[in-house]
Amino acid sequence: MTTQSHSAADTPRPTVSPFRSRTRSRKPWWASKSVPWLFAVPGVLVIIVLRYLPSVAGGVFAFTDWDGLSPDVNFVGVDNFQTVFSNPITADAVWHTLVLGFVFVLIVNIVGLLLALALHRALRTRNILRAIFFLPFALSQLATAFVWQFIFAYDGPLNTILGAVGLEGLQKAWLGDPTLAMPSVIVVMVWQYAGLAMIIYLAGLEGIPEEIHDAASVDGAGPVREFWNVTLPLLAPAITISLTLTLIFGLGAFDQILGLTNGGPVNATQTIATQVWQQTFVYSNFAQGTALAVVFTAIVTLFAVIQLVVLRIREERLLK
Amino acid sequence: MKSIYKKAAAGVAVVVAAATALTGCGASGDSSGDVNVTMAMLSTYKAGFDTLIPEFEKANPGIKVQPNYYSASVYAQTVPTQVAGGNGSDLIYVGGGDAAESAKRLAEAGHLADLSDESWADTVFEPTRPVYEFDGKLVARDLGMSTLATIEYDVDYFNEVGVEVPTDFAGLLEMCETISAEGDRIPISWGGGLPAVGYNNLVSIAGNTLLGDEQDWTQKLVDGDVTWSDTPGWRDALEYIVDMKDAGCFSPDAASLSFDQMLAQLASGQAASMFTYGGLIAAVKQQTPDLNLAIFAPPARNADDTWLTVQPAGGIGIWSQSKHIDEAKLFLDFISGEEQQRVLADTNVLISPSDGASGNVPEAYAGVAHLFESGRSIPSDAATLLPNVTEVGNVIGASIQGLFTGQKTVDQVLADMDSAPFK
Repeated sequence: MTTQSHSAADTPRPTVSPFRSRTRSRKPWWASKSVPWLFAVPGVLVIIVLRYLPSVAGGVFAFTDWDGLSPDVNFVGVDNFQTVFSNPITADAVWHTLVLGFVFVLIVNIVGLLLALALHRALRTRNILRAIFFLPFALSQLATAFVWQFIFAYDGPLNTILGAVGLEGLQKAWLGDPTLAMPSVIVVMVWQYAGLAMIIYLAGLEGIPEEIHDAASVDGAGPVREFWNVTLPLLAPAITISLTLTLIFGLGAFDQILGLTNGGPVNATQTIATQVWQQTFVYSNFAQGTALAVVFTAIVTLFAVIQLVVLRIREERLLK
Repeated sequence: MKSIYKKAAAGVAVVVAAATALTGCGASGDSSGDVNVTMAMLSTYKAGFDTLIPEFEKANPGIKVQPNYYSASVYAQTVPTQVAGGNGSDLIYVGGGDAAESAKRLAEAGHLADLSDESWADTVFEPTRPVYEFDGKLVARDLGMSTLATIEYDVDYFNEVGVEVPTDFAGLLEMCETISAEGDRIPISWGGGLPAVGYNNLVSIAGNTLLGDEQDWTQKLVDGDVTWSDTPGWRDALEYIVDMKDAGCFSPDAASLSFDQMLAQLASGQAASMFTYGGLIAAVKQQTPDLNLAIFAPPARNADDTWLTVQPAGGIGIWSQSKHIDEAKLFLDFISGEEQQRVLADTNVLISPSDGASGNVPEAYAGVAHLFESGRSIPSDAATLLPNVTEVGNVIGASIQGLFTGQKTVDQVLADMDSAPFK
């Protein structure tokens, strides 16, 4: 019996078609990097057709005088946009929107962060407490507003409790006083959204390795310095997400205002969102309502983008 | 693999067949050949139509009426959109004023059929007829009327504390002081959180101070011959409200009290009365059926100068693109009978058109019957004459809130009224 040694030159090549040999040497088509994007196309198309195209189509009416009912539509240029800023009620609504949005964002994130820090500890009841604080966010905004309207009523529970503890001087018409109506709306919104901010910050805190805290302690950092120089910078991504989400919610507040004050008293709580509803559905001034909606979209987009850019830059700087 | 494809194809075929069958059932006639006449209506009329529709169907075999009921706020946003989108119901409730669901707006956009030649056309209540006309054509059957803004009060409570129905303004202030002194109820619940309540109440008071004696004032305003601020009657009416506030007639949060809270305060016994649209007695009695309620008009400073302002309650029109206009007209013909009108009016504590014409007002309106009988009732004509009465009313109502909060004086409210954007 003899053995033969074979070299590569002696190894017979498989007999295959020259065409198939070209195909076999390439990667399979499903391994192409562009294929995953192709699978996303139907979903993207659905979103564009069902979400963005109607918005753009509706936005065209902002340049007309359409009332939402008549078959007649006339182009009026930017008249509706001029009215937005020349009508004192809508001009004030723009200002109220910004004030409500930014004050709400500030307070709800502070409250949410404090709750997260408090419930990040090893408490036996922390999971129950987390659920309790998150529960308001799961409730209907309009239903919540009606409940708080009852609480804030002049003869409601809040004033009753204040009277019972000897604080009659603090009993107010919380929703009937123009100076107190907007703060009352902000209180309700903070109550409802603090749980959301808390959850986001808790997720951020959970992502910080314990060793970093231990190292800070070993280096002699006190709780405040540890929070300021270690925890807060590492929370940057969570801060970005929370600030962005709460800004959008704050600027778009509608249900709470409608349920609590209906935009009053004396238009003290009118915002762009309530004005869009009022112009479109109450006054049947569809074109004016659409113009307000376009202005509103521009404001929200502008601030959301600015905030994202600033916070991302800050994130990258802190996490280097 | 092949069996999976077969199963999938079978599943799709079942879904398509079911959809086809359901589509067939949703068509205007059902399998029995009946014509389905659809109706979009406020939910407050449900009880009345629950009685009338079976009677109509019995009298008209082959025609079925299919009502869809909506709350007022949902109706205003939903039904005009349906109509504009080509999906209107055959029969449509239409309101007054110039809101999207008003007869005026819908008729202006060509969505309501001409009903001028119907047999019942002459039975539309004459003072409120303009609300249901457009361009000289009748476009709706009126359902009744109530008072624009009167004081609906708890009769038993008034008897309990020994308060009599006031006949003049001094008596009204005395009523407020007496009830306030009792300490257990708000004398008059004023739902100022909804600006329209403040505006309607002001107009009702102005019936005494101006509009009763100058019934063409609104037309003069539209023609540019007068302004709100240069007409003393409006100042008087605003000062009437301020005097009531100062006498403790209202709660401290009247400027922000919501419409629902106003009704709830009377229904729950927190308030002795409420100042609003008379037909809302029905809504209060839904919450507290045993409540004994009656109505009186806000009295003038002199008893003899009191007027009653009447408000149309809305009507039913026919969608101009309906495929069942003839059948819909039959239904309108049926509900135009005196008894049928009364059934619908009673549902919402309204005065039916025929009772309004004869002066035969229902028991709930006994307190204002004398004003009907003496011819001292006037329609709220702003709804038909002011081009954008809803917006004007909201601007004025919001300014009136300032009277309650102390932010505005009567002069400032008058200035706001002059700047209200009516076009």
